[in-house]
Order: sequence, then structure tokens, then C-alpha cells
Amino acid sequence: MKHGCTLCQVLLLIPAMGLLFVLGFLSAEMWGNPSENPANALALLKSQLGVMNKSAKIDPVEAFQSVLSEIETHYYGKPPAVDKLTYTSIDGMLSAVGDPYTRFMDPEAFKRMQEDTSGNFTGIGALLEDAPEGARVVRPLPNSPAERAGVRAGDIIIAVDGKSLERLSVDEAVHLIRGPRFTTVELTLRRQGEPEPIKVTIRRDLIESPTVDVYLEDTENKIYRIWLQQFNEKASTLVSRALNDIQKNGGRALILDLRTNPGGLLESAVKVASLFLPEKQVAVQIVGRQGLIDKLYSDPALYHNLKMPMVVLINGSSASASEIVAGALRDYKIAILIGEDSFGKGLVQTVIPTSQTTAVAITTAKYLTPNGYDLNAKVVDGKRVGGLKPDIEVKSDEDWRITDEDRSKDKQLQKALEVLREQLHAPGAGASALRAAADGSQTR
Amino acid sequence: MKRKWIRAGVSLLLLGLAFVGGWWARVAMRPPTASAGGSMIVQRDFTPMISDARTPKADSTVSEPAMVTLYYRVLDLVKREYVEPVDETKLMQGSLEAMLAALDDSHSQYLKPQQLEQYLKALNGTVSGIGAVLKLIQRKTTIKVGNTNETAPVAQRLIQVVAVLPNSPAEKAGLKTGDLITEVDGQWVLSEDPFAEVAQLQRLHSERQQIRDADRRARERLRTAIPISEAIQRLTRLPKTGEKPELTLKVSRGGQSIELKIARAETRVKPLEYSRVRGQYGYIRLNILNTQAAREFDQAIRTLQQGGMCGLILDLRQTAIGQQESALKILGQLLRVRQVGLVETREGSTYKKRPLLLSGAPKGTNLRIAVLIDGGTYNVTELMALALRTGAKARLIGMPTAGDASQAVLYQLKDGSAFTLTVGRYYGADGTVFDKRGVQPDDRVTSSPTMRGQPNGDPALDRALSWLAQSQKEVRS
Repeated sequence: MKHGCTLCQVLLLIPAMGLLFVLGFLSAEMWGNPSENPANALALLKSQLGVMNKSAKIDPVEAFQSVLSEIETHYYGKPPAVDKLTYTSIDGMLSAVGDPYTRFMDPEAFKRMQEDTSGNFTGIGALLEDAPEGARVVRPLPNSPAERAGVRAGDIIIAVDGKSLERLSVDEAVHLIRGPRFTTVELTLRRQGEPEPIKVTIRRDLIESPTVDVYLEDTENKIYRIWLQQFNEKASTLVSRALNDIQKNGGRALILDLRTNPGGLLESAVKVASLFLPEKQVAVQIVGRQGLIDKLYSDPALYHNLKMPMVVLINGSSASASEIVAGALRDYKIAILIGEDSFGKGLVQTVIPTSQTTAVAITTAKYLTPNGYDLNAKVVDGKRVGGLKPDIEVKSDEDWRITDEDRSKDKQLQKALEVLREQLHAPGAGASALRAAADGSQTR
Repeated sequence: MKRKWIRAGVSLLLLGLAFVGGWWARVAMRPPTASAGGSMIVQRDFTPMISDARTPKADSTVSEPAMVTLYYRVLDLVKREYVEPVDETKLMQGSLEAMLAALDDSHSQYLKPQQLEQYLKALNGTVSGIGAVLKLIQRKTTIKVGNTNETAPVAQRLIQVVAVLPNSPAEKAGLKTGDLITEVDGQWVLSEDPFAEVAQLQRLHSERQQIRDADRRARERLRTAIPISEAIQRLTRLPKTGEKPELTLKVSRGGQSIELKIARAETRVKPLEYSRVRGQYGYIRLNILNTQAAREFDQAIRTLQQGGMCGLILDLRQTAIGQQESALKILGQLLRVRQVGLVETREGSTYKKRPLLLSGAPKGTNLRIAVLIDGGTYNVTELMALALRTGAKARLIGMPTAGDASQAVLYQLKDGSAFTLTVGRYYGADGTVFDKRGVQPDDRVTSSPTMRGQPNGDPALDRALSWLAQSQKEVRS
């Protein structure tokens, strides 16, 4: 009886199970798969997306890893190596930041950077330009290995270490000429008046690029121009010396030319600004993620009491330290700015190693002028907008180069001279009067 | 007493399991939910997994876990140290976009949530913009340098028209398969490095003036240029408020440059249209290979057969949107064999071909089938045409097809974005290669239709009709 009962229970259970199986199957059919309804297909897809959007958080690292391993295992073509793909991906991540200076350095770039800053790359010290057969020497730099070896302006370098430059660009030629310090390079030169090419062997050395050039642009009015080409350790000493000379020679007005000056050391910029600032004043403000980090002050000990009107020339290649100096001199009404919008780079990068062979350069702070103006250009609709706006905007001719000897073509310089002359002949010569004149010419 | 309870409990458990089993059985039988659009996509559901399970190789710095760590470190540093707050989602999107773009493959790309939605809408038959399926192609060419006899090699990336959707603004304006879109509203679509000429002139040591002229030309070109992504966006979206709906395009067709004015609108595309031609022949046109088309295909065949159809013309011209599953379902109605084609996939560094099969038994048909193809017959549709030739003795009439045999998969990420990836390459069941070459028609008809699907207005259709009539006679005699 007992057994029979168990048996009939089991027998009852089997059809019941079957019934429920079918029930489960049908429920899945009805409720589990609504996308079968054609009209609802899109609505469903959308609602699925909607649900996804609500739980929107996704861990970028998980997503990255998933896509990476999916490419490595399932992509049909030959996938790029895991490291290359990762570097590309990180490049993409950093370009989404929208700041060209925040960038990733793969092992190759990181190595190059380490070499660059430790100054391993050196050359012979000559300015070169394109020429039909090779590269023409514009001029050897004073006291450079090239000058000591007898290289002259006008010489055409046709081969480097026996390798012809015929189909190479100047950049490629420069690449061949540069090398580690104290190694030698053999140049084959063609010189006018010499029937045969000349061979010279030059020992490469560290080249100090020129920093400061002084020109008397207007003899009658004694208007001097100081062309400061970069902000290195010596910049403020050299400018200071130039100012002494100008004062001694009875200079009456000054043009500080910061065009195509890419910047350099922050400390150097503060020192150069100090030459013109009578009191201890804020030269630049540094602002980081958490707000103001630091203010750097001018050093009144460096001040030169010039008592002459002053113009600063800037253009689209005046960047960083140049913009700090130009900005400070304008904010304190020491000088007016003439030229074009400056480059717009007042950013501090920190290089942080991310592995033994890679690093990332991140913009961790930015410079503001003493008045709090943000120097940095922003990318709006694919165009860079920003930088310092000159008080008087003058565009240069497209063909003009800062190295050109003929000054009459230099529209920006001519404008500066014109403004300064006008000022010197007006009563009460001084920077503030000059500024008033400049404001007047803007509204005119 | 106690035993009774246990027995009842076990019974209930078994009953519950039976229910779940039934549910599961149905779910397991269900084909994977297909979703995609824009081009041919197979869906694979995708949930990101965490890498912790794998152990890094001790000293290697390029193993996958080491790279994941590197990615994490950079992301973390930027989030913490960058001078302004950064949007983590943007950073992730930027990185995935770049990683997939690095594959240089038109079927592998990252889709932001709104791009995915646009994709799905297209698959469901709503296409925004000019109403054409576009593809990025790459080619190497040379440009003339200055006034010299020299040339410079340049690598170009161009927007090519794969297919034009029926009743779309693009169709009305006369845009054609193969057209290359070079300018949008007078703005050059940035297809190559504009300074290639300058670099070549420098390398040739040309005169300074000539280099400067070339440089000026390049700058001028760049000033008005728009990036490819921007051009594609303008072509595939509705006009913004205040924007004029019409776009003026410059397209290159067979080496000649022509200008077209094309409106932008939302085009509703019927996935499938059918009619009877000359009384006894069925004409089915597949515009989009989606689930709706697959379902309507059964219906269309039944209706046409009730009307005494004795031959079928399947129009696959300009069919460039769809998904593999739907194509297979449609083929299931016509093929006499189960094998549709072959799919080659990569396993490590070797490649393996496997048959691509119908999910169920083939229904088969004794109908004579003519398939109309052209350069807009794209991807899975090309495979479909080949399968009909080998598995249903169909005759292919028209022009060679697009020649794109990439099998792509859509992966959805849980934040609503997605990415697509080429995971295989299709071949015909007999090993026929159609990648790059296209599927060759059995009967070439070069003139394009004036009235598509209408006798006397559609030369390929006319050819199909006369072939069907011919073979019917042969069967009778």
C-alpha cells in the first residue's frame, strides 16, 4: 500500500512536471521575448538602450580591457601588438582632454625626451636654408664649431659624411649633421670661386643659440630694438647688459621684440619682467586644479629706470614665457603690445613616469597674468582662439621672415617705430601717455 | 509525517525545475537577438569582464594585464592632476574610438550611444540625412607637384557611396553607388595631407617661391577643410534648426567632378516590397535585411504562390543595410541545401574556414529564381546572391557586386555605447572569393533602370523576365 501510494505519487508527478514544462515554455514564448512583435522592435531596442542609459556607469578600464582582448582574440585581420594598440588608445584618451600638451610618451618618445633634455644632441652651429644642390649656409653662428672650421655664409653643403644631400630637405640635412657631442662630421661644401668642392671636418659641440640681439632701428630718434630669442638662464643678464648699453648711448625709446620667441624658463621670464618693474609686484600667477598655487614676484633689485616709452612686439609664435613678460608689462602699463595674437600657451606640464619605459606629460597648472587674464588659447570649432591680444594689431606680410635683412618690409616694426616717434614728439613722453595714444589709435 | 513534508518539498522542487526547464528550453532555442544597422552586422551580446583572473607574466611589460594597468594609471593621473576637471566618459570614448580606428577597417568602429541609436534606427528602416549608405575607403594615388613633372605619393581616405535608399533625397538628386564625396557645401573633405606637395617640393629643392606658393595653396585648402567625421555627420543627420536642409555636394564619379544638391530628411524605407509582373512572375525587392523583411518574405512568397507564380525575381540591388540572421531566414525559404557559404576566422595566427549553415532545415523551392544585383549589392547580400546561385540554381543578372566580404559583429557596452568589429570573412559555399572582386553576374546588364521594378523601364528586370520565359519553355518541351 505504502509502495503503491509512492508509485502513484510519482506517476502523478510526471504529467504534472510535463504540464509545467510546457507552461514554462509558453510563458517564455509570451513574456520572455517581446521583440518578436514587429511594431515593438524599435521601441524595445530603444527602451533597452534607455535602461542602459540609466545604469550608464561603465568602468573605462573594464571597457578598455574588453575591447582590447576582443580585438586580440577575434579581430579577423592581423591585430596590432597589444602594446601598440594600448598606446594608440591612450593617445586617443588624452586627445579627448583637448589640450595638445597633455600627451602620452611611448618608450620611443620617452627615450627621445630624456636625451633631448640632457642635451645629448649637438651640432655644428650654422643656420641653413634650402638650396638646389643641398643646404646653403645662411651664416655660421659666432664662435661655433662651424665658424672655427672656416665655414662661410653662402657655402652650399652638398654632402654630409659622403652622403649626398641632393634629394633631401633641409630638415633631413640637419638630422644628418647633428650627432653626439665631440664626434666629428665631414661636410662637402661648394663655395663660389672654388672649382672643386671643399671637405671640412667639424667636431660637434653644444650649441648655444643666440639669445639677445640689439639693433638701433632709428638713428635720428635713437629707438633701439632688443630681439630676445629665448628665455634661457642667460636671458635676463643679456637683456640687462643691453639696457645698460642703450641707456649709455642715449636711447630714447625701446622695442622689446618677442616675436617667434617660443618661451623657455619661467624663472628667466620673471627676471626679464623685473628689469622693467620698479616695485616688488606679481609677475605671474600659477593656478592649478585646486585654485591658486603660487604667485611669483618681480625682484626690484633688477629694475632699470629707463624713463622711455616702450613697445613689445608679439606674434603667433610668441609663447609661454614671452606671453608672461608681455602680459605683465601690459598689465602694469609699462608697454603697449603691437603685432598679432600671441600663441596662447601659459601651461605648466609635469612629466610623470607611468611604467619603466613610458611616461605621461600632464598640464597640471596654468599661468595667469597679474590681472588674472588666462593666456591659454582654447580650441573652438576646430580653431584655436585666445592668447594675448595686441593693443595695436598689425599683420605681417606672408613672405616676411624675422631673419630678413630688409626692415622696411617689417610692418609690425614699422608700426612700432611710428607709434614711438609720435610719442617722442608729443609733450609728456611716457608709457602712460603712449598707452593713451595707442588707445586713441585703436578707436580711430 | 516528516517524510511526507520532504516528499512534498521534493515534488514541488521538481515541478519548479520543470517550469524553469521549459522556460530555459524556449530561451535557448531562440536565435540571438539581432540588432544593428548601417551595414551588415551579427550581434553578439557582450559583457565586459575584469582582468583580475589572469596573472601577469613576471617580467614582461607588454602583457595584456600590464597594459591594462598602464591604461588605468594614465586615466587616474589625468583625472587627478589635469588643471581642470575632466569628463571620464569622454576620455573613455576617445580611447576606444582611437583603438578601433587604429585597425583601419571600415567595419571596426566605436559607436557613441547616439550613434548606436542611429544605427538601430537605420536597421529598422528610418534613415536620417541624405539617405545613402556610406563607407570609408582608402586608396593610394599620386598628385602632380607644382609646375614640375614630378609627382608625390599620397594616401587618401574618402567617403564612398555604397548604396542609395529608395525614395531618399539622395536618390532623387541622382547620387550613385561608387560616387566619392569630396566637398560638402563648398568645404573640402579632408581626405589627405594637404602639405604632401610642399614636402615633395622641399625634397626636390625647388625654388623658394614655388615652395611658398604650394604652402599657401595648402594652407588655403586647409582653411576651408572639414574632417571626414564632420562630413559624415552632416550627411547623416537632419538639418539643425536654422540650417538650410539642402547640402551642395561635389562628388567624383568615374574621375569626373559633378555637383549635386541633396536635401536632408528622414527617409522611411519599406524593408520589403513585392508585386506580380506579367501576371505569372513574382517580383520581390529587399531594401533592408531585417527581421521584418524576413517575416514579410514568407507572407509574400505565400501570396505570390497563391496567385500561381511560376518564377521569382529577387531584387537585391542597392541592398546594403541588414543583418546576417535575417538573410539566413530568407534563404531558408529558397535554398535546397543547408550550407549558405563559408566563414573564415582567425585563431591565433592561423585562419580557419567553417561552413555557415541555415539554423533549420532548408525548405527548398522548385521555383526558377532570377536575382538582380549591382554595385550596391553589399556584404551579406552578396553572400545571399552567391548562395542562391549554388543552392537554388538562381541566375544572377546585372552588374558585379560591391565586393565586401567582412563579417562584422556589434557589441553593446552597458553604458549604451557599442562597437563593431570585423571577425570573419565570407566565401561562397564552393569557396568562391568575392572580397574586393565582387560577385560576377551570369548575365551582365549594364544599363541602369529608369523605372525600377517595372517591365520596359528596367533592363535587368526585362532580361530576367525573358530568361524565366525561356526556361519555362525548356521545361515544357
